[in-house]
Amino acid sequence: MAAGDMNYPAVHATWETRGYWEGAGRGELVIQRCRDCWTVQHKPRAVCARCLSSDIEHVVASGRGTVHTFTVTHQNQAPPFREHTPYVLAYVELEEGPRVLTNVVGVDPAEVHIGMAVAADYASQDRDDGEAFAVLVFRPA
Amino acid sequence: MKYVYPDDLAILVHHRGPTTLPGAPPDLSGGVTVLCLHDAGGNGHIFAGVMDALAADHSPLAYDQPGHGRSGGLDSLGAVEAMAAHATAVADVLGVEHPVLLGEGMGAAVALEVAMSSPGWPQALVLCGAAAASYDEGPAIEQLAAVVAGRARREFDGSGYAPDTARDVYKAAFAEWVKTDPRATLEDLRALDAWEPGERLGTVACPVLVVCGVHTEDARRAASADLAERTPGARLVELPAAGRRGVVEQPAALAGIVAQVAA
Amino acid sequence: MSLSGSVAIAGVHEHPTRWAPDKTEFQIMAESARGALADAGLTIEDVDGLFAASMTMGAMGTVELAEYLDLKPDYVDGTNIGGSSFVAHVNHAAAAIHAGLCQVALILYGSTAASNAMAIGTGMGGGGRGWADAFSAPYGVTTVGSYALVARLHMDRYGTKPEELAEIAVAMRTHAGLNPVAKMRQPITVEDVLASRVISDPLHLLDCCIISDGGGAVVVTSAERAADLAKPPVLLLGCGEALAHQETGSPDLMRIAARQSGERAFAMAGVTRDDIDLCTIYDSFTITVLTTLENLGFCEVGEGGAFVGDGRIRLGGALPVNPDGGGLSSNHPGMRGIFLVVEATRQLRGECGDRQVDGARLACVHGTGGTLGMSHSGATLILGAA
Repeated sequence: MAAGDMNYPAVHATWETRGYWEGAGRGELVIQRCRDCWTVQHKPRAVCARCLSSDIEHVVASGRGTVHTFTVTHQNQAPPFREHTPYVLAYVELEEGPRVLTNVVGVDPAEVHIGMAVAADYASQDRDDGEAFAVLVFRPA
Repeated sequence: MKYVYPDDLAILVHHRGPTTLPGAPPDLSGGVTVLCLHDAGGNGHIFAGVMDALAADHSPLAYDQPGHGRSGGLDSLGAVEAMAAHATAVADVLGVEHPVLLGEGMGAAVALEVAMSSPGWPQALVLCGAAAASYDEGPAIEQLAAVVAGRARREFDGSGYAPDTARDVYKAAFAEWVKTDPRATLEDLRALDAWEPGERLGTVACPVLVVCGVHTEDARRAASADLAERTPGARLVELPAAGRRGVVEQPAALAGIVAQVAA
Repeated sequence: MSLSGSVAIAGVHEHPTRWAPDKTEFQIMAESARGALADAGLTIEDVDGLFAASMTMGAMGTVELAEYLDLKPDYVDGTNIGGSSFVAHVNHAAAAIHAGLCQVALILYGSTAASNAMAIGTGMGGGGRGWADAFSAPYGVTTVGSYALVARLHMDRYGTKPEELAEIAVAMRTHAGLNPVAKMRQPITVEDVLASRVISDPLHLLDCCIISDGGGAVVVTSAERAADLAKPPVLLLGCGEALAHQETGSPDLMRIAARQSGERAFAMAGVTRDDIDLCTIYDSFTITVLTTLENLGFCEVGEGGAFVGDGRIRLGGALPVNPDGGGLSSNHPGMRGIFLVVEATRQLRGECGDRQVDGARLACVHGTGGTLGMSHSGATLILGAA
């Protein structure tokens, strides 16, 4: 499954998470860093998960990472994945530390391996409300 | 619809006409009772169209065998003889006397088995997609055995229907078929394959119509014709614009055929 | 007075159904309650604490259930942390009874997942509106897939083999063959497991739990009260619960909630792993059992594959796991923690006939709720024959 092959289902953003989804829409992988304790976190929150500080800055990550673990899924009855099996579900460990759950696309699932170098890409999605979000996926680097 | 509990096992009964209290049998005052017996892996709902067409002048009934559709139990009854005994137990609980038995596929075998074990009880048999030992269920059994072992998925079989039969019809039929655990369907097919009435067919004492869709493929047609020949009082009846599943392809026409023998 | 040993399980019931298209969830709960109360020699009038969870009960679910049962409890707990909820309910009931907030706790579960054709493992999609869910829902996460992520990493890091996971499935099926109400009882081999189709690599169909209808009930009261009731009391010696999730982004996926809940339970009970005669372990998937045994401390992390070999976890082995056949072969209506408590209790009473673990006096119960690989809960009990 290649980014662009499948139109992802519309994601749901909140004021807390909008920075991440809009970043993806701009082709940027946005993560958060606490200015009080320097914890880097993903998924986005309005506070630091470590120390509860509200002094959070949004930073653009390099987009580079490695496959931490993955699975090739052959059966999923929920659309649109129902028509796109087999596909790769993976945790990618970013250079910056946090891992993201994602799909690895643009490669034969049989070639995906733990430790594989990958780079961020952004897939479109179906929405009719004018929001410029995209879905983060990864391709072989 | 209602549940009855012969031998403490929940059996879903489909009926027409006015509803009755839980625990009370359905109302059978609408005319001659037509008791419908489903195929391997099937359930009573497959007869919905036929029952709708019969409802005005008859009392149509159908039920899901144990392990099928929305009846209780996990397993097939495993042998046509057991299914026939169960059919009479269900009929007993429902207060059914002298029904016409309408059977499809395995249900036709059950109908014949009932007629042979309880001569005089059914007033007539209408058999669809019927054969007696001259049709090989081997390939279907092999495919299902792979499904039950987890090696394969159940496949949508759109074959055997008349060319003009709408896709919706066999899609709906498949949706009903997958409601039954493949393990039970596999045991049904094995039971049907093992059933051999032999000389006992000669004891059938009521009128029998063997219905065959005109678009039925040769091997199945030959098996139906063979059955009609071997059964006393049996007549082969052709069902236009239908393949192997007249019950869902031409329910109104089939109901008309049933009405001919429902005195 | 310490909680340990002061509370007992006095009544249990596992509903015999695996397919109940003619029943509702509440009906299954009520029939199970009837069974567990009769087992204890109590009646519904004795119950003053209500604990329940299911996949369909939402907010106010326990209130609706209380109306169905015409109960006005002094204590209510609808904690839902996935399939482990009922193991945690024992923990919570113990705390309430120990604090004098209720006397007789009734824990209930019921489900018609199979007859409602709920595709639990591979199709409960949609959603994406929860905070965490929004970051996984887009990616086609399935329950099987999320457990597979853990299995794949375990194999890569420790060399765990598919045959070793398969052995767990074979053991569960062997046990189910001795359980007349188990859903799947035909023996299978390691080859059968590996030949079954891959759902999400490396997990095959037979690495995954079945789907069934079912339910159960557990009655908990003080050890003192239980001593006067119908069955030998089964004492709660230790308990613990825990949550595991993605933290700030890089948790150790090999360290599951069982580590935290297990440590507390064993410490409270003051027993060692070697003292345990049998385990009932949530077996949503073969990998769940393997990582649970490691994290409960029965073996080192990474050694689970070898640990389950040589028949160790089978009846007759050194540490039988799930003598009833588990969720892999007996019963899995979507949440199966209650059956872990029921089976362990019956084993400690010596009631299990053909599948009885000889001389069982101490059992370790561990429930996992949610999904390994994403977020999950753990609840551990150490139970002892009185």
